[in-house]
Amino acid sequence: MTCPEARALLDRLLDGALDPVEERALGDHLAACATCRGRADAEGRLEAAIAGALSEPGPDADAAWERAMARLPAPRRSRAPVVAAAAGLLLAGAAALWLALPRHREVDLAAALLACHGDLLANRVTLTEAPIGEACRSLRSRIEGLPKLPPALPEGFILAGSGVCYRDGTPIGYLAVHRGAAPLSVAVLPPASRAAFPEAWARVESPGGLFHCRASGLSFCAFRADDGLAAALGDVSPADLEALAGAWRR
Amino acid sequence: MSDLCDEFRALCEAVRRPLLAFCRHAVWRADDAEDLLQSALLTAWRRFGEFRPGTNFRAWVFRIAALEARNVNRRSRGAPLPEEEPPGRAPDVVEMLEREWDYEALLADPETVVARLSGEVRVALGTLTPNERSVLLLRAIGDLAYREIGDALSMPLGSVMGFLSRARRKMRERLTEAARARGLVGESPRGSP
Repeated sequence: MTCPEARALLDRLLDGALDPVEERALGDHLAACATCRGRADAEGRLEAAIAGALSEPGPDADAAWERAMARLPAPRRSRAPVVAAAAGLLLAGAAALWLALPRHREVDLAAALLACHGDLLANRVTLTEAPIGEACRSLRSRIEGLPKLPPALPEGFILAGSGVCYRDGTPIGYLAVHRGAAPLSVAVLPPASRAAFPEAWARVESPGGLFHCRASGLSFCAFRADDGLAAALGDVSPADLEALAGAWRR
Repeated sequence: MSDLCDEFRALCEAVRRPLLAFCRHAVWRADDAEDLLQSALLTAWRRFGEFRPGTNFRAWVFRIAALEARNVNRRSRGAPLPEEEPPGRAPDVVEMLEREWDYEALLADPETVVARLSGEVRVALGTLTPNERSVLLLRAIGDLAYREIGDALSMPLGSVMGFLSRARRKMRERLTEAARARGLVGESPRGSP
């Protein structure tokens, strides 16, 4: 490794972001080159000094913190079983079955898709509007090993847009779908997502290959899609999500 | 106070100082810092049911703060955003040598130089593009890993690394220029003042 090559890696060394091969090669170089070793040390100190300067909260910060904390509304729910929230849901005929579903906290992919859904509702995502065939080609060209999308969604489901989102560095094929007025978020993942979402994979690889749960008052359903995985989430019935899953499972 | 509220407050308290600093620097208008802090904490509280106990609360709450910063800055009618600089005249060899010499002089005692340039650090930060600024703040203040930054900003890892690299280069260049202007560095290799 030359000195310019070593210096190009110094920032990532500071960030602990080198892969093992780079780390070994850079370590060998620094052990032999006092100039680069000095540079690495000095740039580390410079970045720490800049971070230190930026980490000053500023005047009146503590008072602002107390004001912000004081304005938080009272809690509406607890981690204990949600009796009050459940009371409203008991109006529906299928509520008893729905409430028996496990909570999303147990499933990694449900939490990730819930975050995507929050971004969708807050208009924080940029999606491409295209027919499903075109969305399929676009997503598969951007995510290696992504399972195919079905040629069409079931009747009553409309594809609003598609794109790629990232959770923990894992790319997810994302579809925004409408079921009447209800927006749904759909995630499609390649086999390589197994390491990022082990819980969801374990659930869909059990008999039946389809898994339901609740996620912050919404329905969540994960299912196998070819050799990959897909999941849907929204304010609709589990039966609706199962109908959507049917498009992949035909 | 409920257990849930206590748990939320305890987790927030652990990130109080970096979150305050992030809110201070992530807004384009200084007046918006408290708005951002309130929006970030309120959104985090409303979505606390989605937080998975045992996972990284710091990364989770900074992700929310980064999203809220975008919203606050979008609403703000402050100064226009810094844009990508048009390609200017390429420095000649002498200028490049002088800049490198000044930078190396700064590196001889970075803590002292940065301490004397604390105001210029904020000015330099203000010249970064929004993505450069967000990535740098999440790394320097939030102490987030590249993957967590990419997650927070819905950005691939390669983009995170690119923005961070450009942000650091610009900060170093601006601080070196400021140090030279303040006479903290400036002995050129040619011996001229």
